[in-house]
Amino acid sequence: MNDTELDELLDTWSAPPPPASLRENVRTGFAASLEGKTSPSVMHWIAAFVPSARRRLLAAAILSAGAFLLIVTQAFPRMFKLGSPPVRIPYTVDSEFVWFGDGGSSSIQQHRIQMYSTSYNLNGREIILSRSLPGNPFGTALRRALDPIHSLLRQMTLPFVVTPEQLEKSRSAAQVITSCGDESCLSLAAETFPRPAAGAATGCVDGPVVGRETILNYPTVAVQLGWGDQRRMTLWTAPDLGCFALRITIEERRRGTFRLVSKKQALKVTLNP
Amino acid sequence: MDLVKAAREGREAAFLQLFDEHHAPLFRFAYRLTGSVADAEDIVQECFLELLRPAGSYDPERTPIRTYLFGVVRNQSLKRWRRNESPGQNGRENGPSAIHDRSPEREVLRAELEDVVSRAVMQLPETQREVLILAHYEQMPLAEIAGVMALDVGAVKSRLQRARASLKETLAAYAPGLERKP
Repeated sequence: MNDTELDELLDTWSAPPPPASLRENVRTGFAASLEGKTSPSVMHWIAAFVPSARRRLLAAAILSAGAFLLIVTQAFPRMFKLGSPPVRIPYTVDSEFVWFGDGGSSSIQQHRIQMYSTSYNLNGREIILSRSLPGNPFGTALRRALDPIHSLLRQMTLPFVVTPEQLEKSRSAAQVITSCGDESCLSLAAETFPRPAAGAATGCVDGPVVGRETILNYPTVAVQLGWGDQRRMTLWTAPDLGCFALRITIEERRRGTFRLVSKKQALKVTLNP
Repeated sequence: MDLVKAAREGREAAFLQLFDEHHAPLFRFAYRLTGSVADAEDIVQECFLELLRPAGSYDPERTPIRTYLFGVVRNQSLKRWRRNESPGQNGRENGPSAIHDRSPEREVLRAELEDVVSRAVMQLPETQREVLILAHYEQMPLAEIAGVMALDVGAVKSRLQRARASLKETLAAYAPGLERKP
């Protein structure tokens, strides 16, 4: 047997393509790794400063506080907004987050509403006021209780966990919640975009403009951003609403064509809520 | 822009770009080393998450990212291989991935040949198998294989030659020029 014949034989052993679930699993792992970044330092702090005899007491206190918050946030969901800034909110946007599956058909895609949210934009950063997860009352209650605490903690601890340069860069950029961070939507995926120069034709996000459309009576500019040649995101941002993204789609190339993976769509804009 | 640095800072787009650029060859490599789709999926997932660890071993100044990732996949695959002693079903889990326009008889013969070839490669000593898979299936230059396996190029070349010689012997009866009788 010569080399060419051996190569021909070896070529008969083909490898299957990576399963579609791999990307989502890796993405979920990425989100989980971000969530876990602060935990070790908190545990270290507790271990260092709280005497071991008092740790059970501390754990009980935290659990009690959590249970209390859970009850209060369920009883008064509109009143209890720890994450809200001490400024008047000019508008809120109700959005739905939809996940699209690949049902194996080229014409019909399965889809499922993962989450409804009410949010607004403060200095270019999207802030969630409330959210609900259809079919997941426990998840909804959990997130309602934890979101305000998480937001508050993040604001308090951010200056200590990033460098001043990163903090400044983060403050000067726009941050948009683009999709759910996992299938159950307990975590969220956010993207940070550098703001374009003043007067730029792209409007709110730096990138190629692929369309203009009026959504819920607000003119929007659609900008498309690519991640390699396998994935792309399109954002329809409304300059009149502080560059809020009224629609965001994420598409992946599957079997040669781009197909929707997720969509965030504004359902209602409320001025001076 | 340094994608690994951006990913470690929490930028999902950077992380997914890294994944999109590298996952397919890494998955093929893991699959051919372990013979299992499920193991290959786990290994590739672990490989990318390993990159995020601040104390991870990746040093961009010493190793190109592709070489590093292949090295992680190799180590993880070897661990699983040793733990399970024998690999999975050599790709029979999911069957051949490509759909060919062939008659049923030819398809059966082709599947049989694929099985024979995969078994022959799997039976190579582990050091030869890795080199052969990287060189033949991933078309990786010898110098890069040397980087993945922490060997010198001469050792890689010698292992590849031994692997090919061994396969020529094992697969002699299946040479394309020979008409096989069932």
